[in-house]
Amino acid sequence: MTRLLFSLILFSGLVWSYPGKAEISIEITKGVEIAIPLAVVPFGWEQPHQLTVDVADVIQADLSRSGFFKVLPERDMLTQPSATEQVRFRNWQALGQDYLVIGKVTPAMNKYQVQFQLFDVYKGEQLMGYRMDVTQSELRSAAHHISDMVLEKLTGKKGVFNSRIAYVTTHKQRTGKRRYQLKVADADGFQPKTIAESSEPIMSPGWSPDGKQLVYVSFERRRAAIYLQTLASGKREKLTGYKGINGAPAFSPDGKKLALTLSRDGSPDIYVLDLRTRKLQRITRNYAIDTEPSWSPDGNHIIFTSDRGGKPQIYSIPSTGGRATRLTFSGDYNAGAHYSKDGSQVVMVHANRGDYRIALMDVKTGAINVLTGGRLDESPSFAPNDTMILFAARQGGRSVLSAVSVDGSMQQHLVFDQGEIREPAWAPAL
Amino acid sequence: MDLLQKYSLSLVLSVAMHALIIVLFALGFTSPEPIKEIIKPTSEIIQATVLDDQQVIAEAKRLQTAEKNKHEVELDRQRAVNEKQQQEEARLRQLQERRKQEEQQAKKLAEQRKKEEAQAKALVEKRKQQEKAEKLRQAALKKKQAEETARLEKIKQQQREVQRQLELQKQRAAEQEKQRKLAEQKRQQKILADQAAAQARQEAVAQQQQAAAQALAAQQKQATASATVAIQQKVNNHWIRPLNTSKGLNCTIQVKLLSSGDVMEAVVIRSSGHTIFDRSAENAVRKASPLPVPEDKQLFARKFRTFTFVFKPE
Repeated sequence: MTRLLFSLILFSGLVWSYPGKAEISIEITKGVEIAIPLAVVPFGWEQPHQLTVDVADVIQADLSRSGFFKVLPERDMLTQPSATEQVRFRNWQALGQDYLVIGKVTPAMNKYQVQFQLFDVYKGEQLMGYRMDVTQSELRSAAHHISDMVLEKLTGKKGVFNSRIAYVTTHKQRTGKRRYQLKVADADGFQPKTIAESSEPIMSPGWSPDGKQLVYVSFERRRAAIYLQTLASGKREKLTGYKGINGAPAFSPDGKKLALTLSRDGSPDIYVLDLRTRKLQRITRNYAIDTEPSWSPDGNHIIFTSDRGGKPQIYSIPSTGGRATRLTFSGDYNAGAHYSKDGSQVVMVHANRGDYRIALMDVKTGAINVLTGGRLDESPSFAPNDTMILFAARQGGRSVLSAVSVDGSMQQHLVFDQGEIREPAWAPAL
Repeated sequence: MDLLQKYSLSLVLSVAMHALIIVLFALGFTSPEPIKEIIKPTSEIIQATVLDDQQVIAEAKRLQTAEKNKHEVELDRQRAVNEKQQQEEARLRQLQERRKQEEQQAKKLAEQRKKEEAQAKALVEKRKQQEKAEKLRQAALKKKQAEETARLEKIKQQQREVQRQLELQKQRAAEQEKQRKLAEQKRQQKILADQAAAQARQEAVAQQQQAAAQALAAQQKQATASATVAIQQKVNNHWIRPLNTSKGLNCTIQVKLLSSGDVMEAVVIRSSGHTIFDRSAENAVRKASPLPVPEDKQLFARKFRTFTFVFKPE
């Protein structure tokens, strides 16, 4: 008996010390939310003359600005391969890069052939590779297109680098007078084009859903008026020129209507203008200031800023009129609200104790998440893929364009023009 | 029967009638003799005493007889005197006889007494002798008895001796048995002690082995735990969680390693359904290569050559 017990103990001891071949399973629950390290090698170009556009540079800037990537500076690269057989993955692993973009540009007839490949550095395999023929003027656009594809491949987000933004700049002229310009540029700020300019203020640019038209407020006749301008033709049309305020025009999602602020009947109220019939419908009727209308993605509601409660807060009202309901309750000031494209969030300027910051409100819960840390951040606008918010921030005493990722983790100033830049509006993705 | 009862009276009457008739007939046959008057003699006859010659004869006879009787009485008297004399004589003779007899008797008695005395004397003597003999006999007996007793005693003593000897032998045997038993017990105890000692030695060895095994197991367990934590940390540090897409997703990745910890193979064995999430996980494992596996080759072979990661953002 003792011996049996003894051997049992010994046996169980053995069993204990050799607990089978149960496979270890390690749970990874944390991870890090950092930008993905990625290298974009300068594209190969084997011609004597210089290319007008550094494609890799454009891609690097795009991906860097997106907030999703930490782009390796060119000076840190050990090699600069432009073809698969030249790639030594170990080198890139040693540099801590997850992904690698290589490519080359070759002349083809009157065009250029742009070729690129995206590699998974650790797996050592190609994830994507394309070739496209473009004209010289399309090189930059081709680069943005590559950025879009890389972004979508690696993050699942639709790229918006090929989209455009509208904004207003102010320059002080030698005469001391200010000059206001409405501009449209690539999303990276390049290739800006002036749409309208005036010595009087230009304000509140807004895109038509198809991206072909802009509405804006101009004081060019010393009175506020709302204009609609077609980008391609430059043709413009005055929509409203009522006495008092004509402001904050916003296209409905279907592009058929315009919500705007008018004070023609007394205090500023929200109106909806039918673009086809030109009929005006008054939506709010209140002694307080109601302004900055913005449509819900389904077009059923309009959210706007009102101080009917004493301080500016965001309210919602059916787009055909009705009872307004208050949406925001925290902070001293909530204004300039816009829905995200998916309708789940509302971005706004949120002020508390004098600091104006960009904040996101979860539509379902009403919870407000402050994204920025500036003192005078204003005019937020969602990127078409909802991943970033474009806004105007103060930097060094002037207003600059800034972008912040929707989780607030990534923020950067986009300095690409002289003067002050205000009221950015990101064009819809096409 | 009822019939009989019913007619019983008539029956009895009839029977009685018949019987009467029969009796009458019978009487008729036995009474043919005519009835006659019988005259019986009366006591008047006895009273009419009649003296007749018979009485005179009887008287005369009686007188004759009386005379005769007188003589006879005399005779009788004579005979009675004779007889009396004879009787007296007889009595005298008898007296003499008796005296004689008495004398003889006395003589006889004296003789008897004498004889008896002699006898008594003899008896006494005899008794004395007897007593003496008895005494002697008693003494002899006593002596004999004493002798017997002594003999018996001797025998007893002998027996006792034998008994004692036996007892002694028994005791000795018992003592020997006891000694033998004690020795056996000692021997058994020694065997047991030896066994116990052997067992203790074995147990000690086994315990040492077990302790060593346990120590090894503990060491391996600890090594496993610390390696697991280190690997987990390293992979966590290398996992760039996809922004805004990770919620609720998870995937399992199986890895095959070299003993150096270098990741030879990382395969998604259960996908999250999202390519980007899966790739981020796969990349994290590859990027964390070499993984900090235990230095113990045996432990590595057993547990770390192949294992899985579950990427499951909190």
